[in-house]
Amino acid sequence: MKKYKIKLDRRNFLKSSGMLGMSSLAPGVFFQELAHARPLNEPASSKNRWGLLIDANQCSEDCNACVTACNEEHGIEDFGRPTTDTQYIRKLNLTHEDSGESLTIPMMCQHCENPPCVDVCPTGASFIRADGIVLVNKHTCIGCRYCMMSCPYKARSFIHENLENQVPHTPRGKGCVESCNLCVHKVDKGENTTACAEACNKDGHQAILFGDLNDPESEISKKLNKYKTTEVRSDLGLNTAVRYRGI
Amino acid sequence: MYKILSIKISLALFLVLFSGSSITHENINHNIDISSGDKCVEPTDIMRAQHHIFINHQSHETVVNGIRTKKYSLNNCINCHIKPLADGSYPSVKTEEHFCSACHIAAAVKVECFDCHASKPYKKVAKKNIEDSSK
Repeated sequence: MKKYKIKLDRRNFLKSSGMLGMSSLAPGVFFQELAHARPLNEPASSKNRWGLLIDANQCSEDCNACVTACNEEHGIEDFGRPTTDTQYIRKLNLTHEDSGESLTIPMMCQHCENPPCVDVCPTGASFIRADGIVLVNKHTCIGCRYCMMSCPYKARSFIHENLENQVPHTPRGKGCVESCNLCVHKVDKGENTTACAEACNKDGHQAILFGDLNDPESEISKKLNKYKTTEVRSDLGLNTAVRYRGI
Repeated sequence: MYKILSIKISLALFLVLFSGSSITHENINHNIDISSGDKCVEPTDIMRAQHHIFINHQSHETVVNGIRTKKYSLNNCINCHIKPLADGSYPSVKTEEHFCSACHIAAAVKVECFDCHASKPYKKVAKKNIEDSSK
């Protein structure tokens, strides 16, 4: 009996000391997550899902700032061939056939949760990163362009020209397919923004908001909760990370 | 028959003995930018033998996992090893003045990295362009 009692005490002691340990550790872990961006030596995590919220009401038809900023950020040159030149973002001007109501929005890779480009890629070059960013691994891409055909958003471009003077954070070369990478180099550094969002804010439109869809405290999540937003071609069930408001 | 064989063996011996002389690194001038550190991330003999393995491994880590540590990153190599020429411009990767090409041209090993990757330090180039345009 005495022995049993000792055992119980020991168990209780362990339980209580464990609880104490956890309660003293937990706030530390929590604060660390809030205070610091992911360190450079840690891989992208599925705790995050990066996305954009685009407000069509704020987007201006004569403004092209997001496209220009994107081209500058990623070193995209204009070869004067609009049908084949690379576009990470393009501006769409839409008019309703009956009412004549017009609408302008930027369109780019929608970073689907179930991306068709990844499904069809024969080499595994098209892939979705743990944090939901859909990318092309250009070391593995053979330039077959199957992903370009499968993408419902026509988000991908093929590089037809020999390139020089690429920027270090966006390696690009002839024979590969590419698309919006959600400024992954900025995301990895913890800058928490994209070139297009920055440019849009700078021009005072604030139509593009970048953020973490998995973080309920992020501005983008709060807005998604508050307002009615739309996925383009939601009928396909791709669960896109780029959402639109006012379309 | 034996004659042909002996010619083949002597030719092989000749190649083994003398082909190395043109690709030793001693006769290639390797300039490291002293302002950005005086030694490489690994000892020179290891870097000469295995730099491609380090870079390949790092490329996978960066593209697939988003790990952007500087140590084995190609951008880090370029920022340190590519020095401006006398006129202030950076050497083209097609010429032997480029750090990578100096050996790779001599050894006749094609580098494909720079089909896509930047072969010059970016920020310094950008800064120089701004300075030039303001003149």
